[in-house]
Amino acid sequence: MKKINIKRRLLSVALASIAFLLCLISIITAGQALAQEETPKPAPAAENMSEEEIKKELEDNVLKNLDGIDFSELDKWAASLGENTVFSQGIKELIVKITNGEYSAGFSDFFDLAISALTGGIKSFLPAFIAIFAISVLLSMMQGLSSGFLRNNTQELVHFACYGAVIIILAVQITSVIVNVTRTIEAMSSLMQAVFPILLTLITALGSTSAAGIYQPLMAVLSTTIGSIISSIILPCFVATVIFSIVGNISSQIRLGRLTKFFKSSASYVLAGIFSLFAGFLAIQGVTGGFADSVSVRTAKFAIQSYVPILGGYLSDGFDLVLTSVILIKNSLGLISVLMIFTLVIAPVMQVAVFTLGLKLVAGLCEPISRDKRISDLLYSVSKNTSLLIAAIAGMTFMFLITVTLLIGTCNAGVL
Amino acid sequence: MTAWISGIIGVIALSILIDILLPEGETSKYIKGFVAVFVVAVIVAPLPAFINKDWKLEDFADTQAVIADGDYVRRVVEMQAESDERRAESLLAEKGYENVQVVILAKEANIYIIESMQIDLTGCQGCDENSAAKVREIISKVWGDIKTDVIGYG
Repeated sequence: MKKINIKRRLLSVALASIAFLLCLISIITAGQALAQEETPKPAPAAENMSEEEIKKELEDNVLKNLDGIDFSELDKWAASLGENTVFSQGIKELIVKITNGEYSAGFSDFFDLAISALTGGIKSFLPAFIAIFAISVLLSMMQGLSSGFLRNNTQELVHFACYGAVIIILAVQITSVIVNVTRTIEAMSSLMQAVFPILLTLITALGSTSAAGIYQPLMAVLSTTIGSIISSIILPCFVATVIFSIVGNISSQIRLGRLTKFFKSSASYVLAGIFSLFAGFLAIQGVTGGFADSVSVRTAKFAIQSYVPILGGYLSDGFDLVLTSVILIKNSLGLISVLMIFTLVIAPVMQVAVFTLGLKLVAGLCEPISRDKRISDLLYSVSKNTSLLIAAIAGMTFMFLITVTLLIGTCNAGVL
Repeated sequence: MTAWISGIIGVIALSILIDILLPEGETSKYIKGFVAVFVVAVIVAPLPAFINKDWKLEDFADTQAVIADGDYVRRVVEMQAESDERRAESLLAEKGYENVQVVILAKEANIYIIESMQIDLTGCQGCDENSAAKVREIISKVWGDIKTDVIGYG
């Protein structure tokens, strides 16, 4: 049994490492795509236009193209993150800064955000954990004092009273965690509903009709279906596991451990199933869709250049200059959306992580003190199930990252 | 879901109460057995409804939630056409045909494919009767075999 647990842990650590690496690759890819486009190759059209003129025309095109895009939904969403974020200046202004190479996402900003979320989480949960530990110590003392009582039921009543107090404290904390996670999932869905139509419009404008046709239903599924599956299946399953853990540890007569495990397993299977299916479809169809478009655009360019050997470059570069501005906007918006989702999820993930570790610590501390291990079991059981919440948020973030990374990579090869 | 969980909590609370209040004896174990069966019945109660429900993707998905903005796509096509018009005008100016007006008509609103190019030579400086043919030749060298309508000096 222990071996299986160790294997499971190793597997989860390996999966988490892979997910982290993929996230890192996606950010690096986005950065590289931008870096490549921020310094466009001096076009052969320079026979008539200097590099400065090309740059100026590109900047003008970026501004003209930005004027046609409605960022109001995204600005509204960014305002919900707070007033002192990088997004407060407005999405349009941020895109202009990124395309001009004046903005780069700093690791220190995210580190500060993570640290403040971590300390905030510790501060908010610490009083509750201290109170639970104190109740557990009190219960142990009272059980020691009441050992001479005639009936065991008196001891049981003492346990119920203390257990009730622990449940109330725990329920308040769990409710705040669930509310936070629900809000985060809703915010992620609304971010996707604000970003995806713009990205879809941009790839359609780039002539990537095959990719747009493939991405449209996948984006709709990610921004609506997965969020509602998490809200309507995963979160209720988590609530059920918490309730069964609480109820199952009230009395030694009632055993609901297996039912708790059933709900946790069901939620895990649903999560793993939807994420695997989505990632599979997205990876295969997204890559092939983008490749098909890239081939068709490249073929058209090659045909023009072969047909008119001297002046062909003029036409194809003119084609590039208009669409390069659209690519710059698309990739900058992709990068901004990745930064937005990280800014959004970092606090709730830290909060759930602190809550999980805190519960495990208090369970560990209560175990040797208390004669009755039901409180310790309850805390440990709840802490095991909170991984569902982290999996839901991390999975949705990961799906968003894959989608945006593929969108950043789509159409660039065909035009540049 | 909430009703189901509330039901389970209720029935378990009842069983605990019975467990505490019931005097020890032969009858108590039968009552406890009956309560246990009752708990199981409450737990499995929603299963038939869950299995028989007709699950559809539309219950969860809004497939029209993400739609491309057609106006913006048309705007980009127009910008591409304007860019080519400017290039054609500057190319013709380089070849000695000043003040020429070029208008490009796109075949489709969503994808930039040139249907025809209108070249207005009426204000052209330095154009003569042979200019229309020469202009067509210059344009066809760059844009290939596209439909070219020349106005003036035709």
